[in-house]
Amino acid sequence: MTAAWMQELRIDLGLAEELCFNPYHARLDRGIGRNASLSTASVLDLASNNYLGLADDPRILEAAGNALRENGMSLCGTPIATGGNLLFDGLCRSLAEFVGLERALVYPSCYQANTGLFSSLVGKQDVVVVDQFAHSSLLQGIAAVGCKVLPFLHNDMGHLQRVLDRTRGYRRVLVASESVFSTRGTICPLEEMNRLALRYGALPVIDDSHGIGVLGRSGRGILEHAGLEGFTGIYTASLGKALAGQGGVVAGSASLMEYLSYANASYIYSTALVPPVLGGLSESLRIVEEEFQVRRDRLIANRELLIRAAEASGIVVVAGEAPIVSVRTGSDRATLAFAKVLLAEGVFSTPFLPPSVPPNQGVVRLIPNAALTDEDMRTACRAMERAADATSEIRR
Amino acid sequence: MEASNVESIVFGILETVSRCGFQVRGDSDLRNDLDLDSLGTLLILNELEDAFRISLREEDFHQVASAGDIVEILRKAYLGVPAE
Ligand SMILES: Cc1ncc(COP(=O)(O)O)c(C=O)c1O
Repeated sequence: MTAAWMQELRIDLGLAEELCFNPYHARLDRGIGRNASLSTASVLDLASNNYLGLADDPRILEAAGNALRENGMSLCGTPIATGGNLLFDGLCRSLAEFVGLERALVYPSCYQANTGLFSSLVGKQDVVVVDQFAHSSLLQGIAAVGCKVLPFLHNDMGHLQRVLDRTRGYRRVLVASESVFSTRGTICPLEEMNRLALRYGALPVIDDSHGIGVLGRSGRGILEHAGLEGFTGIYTASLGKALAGQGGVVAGSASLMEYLSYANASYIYSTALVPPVLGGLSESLRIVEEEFQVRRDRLIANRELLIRAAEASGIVVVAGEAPIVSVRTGSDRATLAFAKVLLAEGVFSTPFLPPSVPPNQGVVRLIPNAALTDEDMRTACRAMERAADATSEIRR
Repeated sequence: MEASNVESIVFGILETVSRCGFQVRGDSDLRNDLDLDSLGTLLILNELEDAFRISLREEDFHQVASAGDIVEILRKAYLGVPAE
C-alpha cells in the first residue's frame, strides 16, 4: 500500500549521474582546514563557512578537550533540566556581551532556534513580513505559525515600507531577515529595516549566521556593522560558521529571553550543547576578540583576489559586500559542471541549486577563508579560470 | 476597469517583482522564464491584492504556471468574467 507513496519520496539524481558528479554529501577524509582531503586527494576548502579559519585552531582544540575532560561528553539533559552548567551559562553570557545584547540563549542549532522561535512570538491572527530570499529555517519557522506571510523584495526598504503599510489592523507584526544572504553575499540594511519596524510597531528579527565573527569593526556581527546600539528586536545566529563550533544563539532583552527560556519548545525540550563544544566556542570567542582584524584583513584580501580573477576570466559574480564570492552559473547543468571542474582542480566549492536559490539562478559559492595562503589563492584563481573555460555558457 | 487593463497591471507587477528585464507575455512561464519560486509567487499575490484591492485565495495560486494563468484568476476575481 505504501509502495506508490514511497516511490514519490525519491530524489531525482539524473543530472548528477549523467555528469558523473554529485557534490552533495561529499565525505572529507578528516576535518576541514588547511589539510582537508576528499577521497585521499587534498583539496582547498572554499566550501565551508570556516570564515576565520578557526576550525582546526590548536587553542580551540585544547579548550574543547579540557571541557570534555572536566565536564564529560554530555550533560544528558535539556537546558531547563540538567543541560545547563557553568560552562553553558558562561557561553550564554559571553555571547550576549559579544553581540551587545542583554541576554542570550544557546540552542542545539540555529536551524532549530529559527524554526521554533516564531511560534512562541506570534499566532494565526498575526503577520510576519519577511525578505523574499530569507533562509529556509526562518521560512519554516514562519510557516509553522500559520499566520499571514507578507514577503518583501530582497533588501528593498522602499518595498518593505509599502508592505508594512498593509499590516495595519493586525494584532502583532514581525519583520524578519538575514544579515548576510549566504548564496549571494548581500547584506541587509538593518539600520533602515529596524527604523521602519519601530515606526510600524513591529518587532524585528535578524538572523546573523553569516555575519557573526565576520561583520563589524571587531567581528561582533550585523549590529556592530549597522551601528545599532540598544537593538530591541531579536537576534539569532549560527555558532557553526565563523565561530567554528556548533549550535545557535538567540539574543535580545533579558525579559524576552527569560520568557523564551521557559516557553520556547525548541529550547526547553532538546538536549543542550555538549561540553566540548561549549568550551571550544568560549575559546573561539576569545580569539575573535583578540585576532579579528588580522583574520578579517586576510579574508577580505582573499575575496578581492577571487573577484579580480573572476572578472578577468569573464565570469559574472554575484556582487555582495560580504566575503562570499558566488559565481553566477544559472542552469542546474552549468552549476554542477562548474563545481565539478573546480573539484578536479583541487578546489572544494558549494553549488546551489533550486530550491536553495530561485529557478535558473544557480550559483557556485566560494568562501575564501582566512586560513588560505597566497599560494592557495593562486591555485583557486587558476581553478576558476579552468572551470570557466570548461563551462563557457556562464561567461558574460 | 477593462479586461486589457487587468492584463497590463498583472504583467507590470510580474516584471517588477521578477526583475526579469523583458516584457512579460501571457505565455511567460513563472518558473522557467521569470525565475519565481513559491515565495516569489506569494509576493505577486500580495502585490495583486494591493493593486486591485481584493482578497485572493492562496490555494488558487498553487497551480499557476504562466502569466496568463494569473490574468485569468484576476479576471474572475476582479471582473467576475472568465478570460475569453
Ligand atoms: C542564514 C542561516 N540561518 C540558519 C542556518 C542554520 O544554522 P545551523 O547550522 O546552526 O543550524 C544557516 C546554515 O546554513 C544559515 O545560513
